[in-house]
Amino acid sequence: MEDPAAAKRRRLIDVTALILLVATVGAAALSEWGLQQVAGERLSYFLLLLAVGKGLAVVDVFMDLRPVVWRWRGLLWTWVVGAVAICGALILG
Amino acid sequence: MTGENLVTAPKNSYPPGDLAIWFFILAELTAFFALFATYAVSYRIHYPLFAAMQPTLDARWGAVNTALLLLGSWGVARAVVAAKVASPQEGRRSSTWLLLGVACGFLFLVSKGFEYAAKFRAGIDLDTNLFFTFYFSLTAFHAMHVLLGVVILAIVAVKARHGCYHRDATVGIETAASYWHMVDLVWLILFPLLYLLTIPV
Repeated sequence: MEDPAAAKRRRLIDVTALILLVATVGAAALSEWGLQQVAGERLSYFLLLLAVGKGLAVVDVFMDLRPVVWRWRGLLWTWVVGAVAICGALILG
Repeated sequence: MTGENLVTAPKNSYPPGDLAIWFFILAELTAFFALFATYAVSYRIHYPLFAAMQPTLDARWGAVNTALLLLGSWGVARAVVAAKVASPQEGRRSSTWLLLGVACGFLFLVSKGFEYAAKFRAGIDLDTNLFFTFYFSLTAFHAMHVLLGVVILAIVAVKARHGCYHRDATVGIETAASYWHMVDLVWLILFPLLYLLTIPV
């Protein structure tokens, strides 16, 4: 019989990957809608949010860092949120 | 005693895989962050040039790259789960998942090759202007990491096929997976920064 913890983790990985993949394909489809200026701009922000989502997913789901102490998880979270916030602020002013 | 605490600390106090890979990952993330910040500052300073050049990049290639890396990352994460529950005779399942990661990484490099070829045919290279210096430097630096990741995953896949990873031996596969997820994570920030994020005129 399959280990319930492993089955739960497998489902979590599947759902996270599916959400991120659908979000990426959806974002790419947005750019083809013809409303180039508006769609392009929205796509930018959407994908930046996706980057944060993916970062958090990698930290907590794909990398399996949940049982890990905060000094390790915190370093990666800081990088994801910091990189997006600082670069976003510098570009958008 | 301090030394005793270190020895007796539970394994789950540390990130997955070999501890050394995490120092490497943090060093790489620091380097990428410095490059991203430099790009963002240059974007502000040379806004007319960057705003004019950015639309010449094909975001559809970037979206394909993103989907490939996400798919590969999913395969690698599933490979680690498979290894954690496998007996020494059941290594093949994680090997198959790892090969999905290898294939996605390889296709990423092929698509990047097509993208570069289109640029070179249009007479665009590293020296064209500052924007394309950043474009080629950032994407090539990342692609080198993908190439290394593909080699690492291929080696780990072969070892998994020979039963090297199972419920009592997962450090190697976790180390490779952590590196691969770092490469994927960097791309997810690089893609919107380079291809998409624009200042409204």
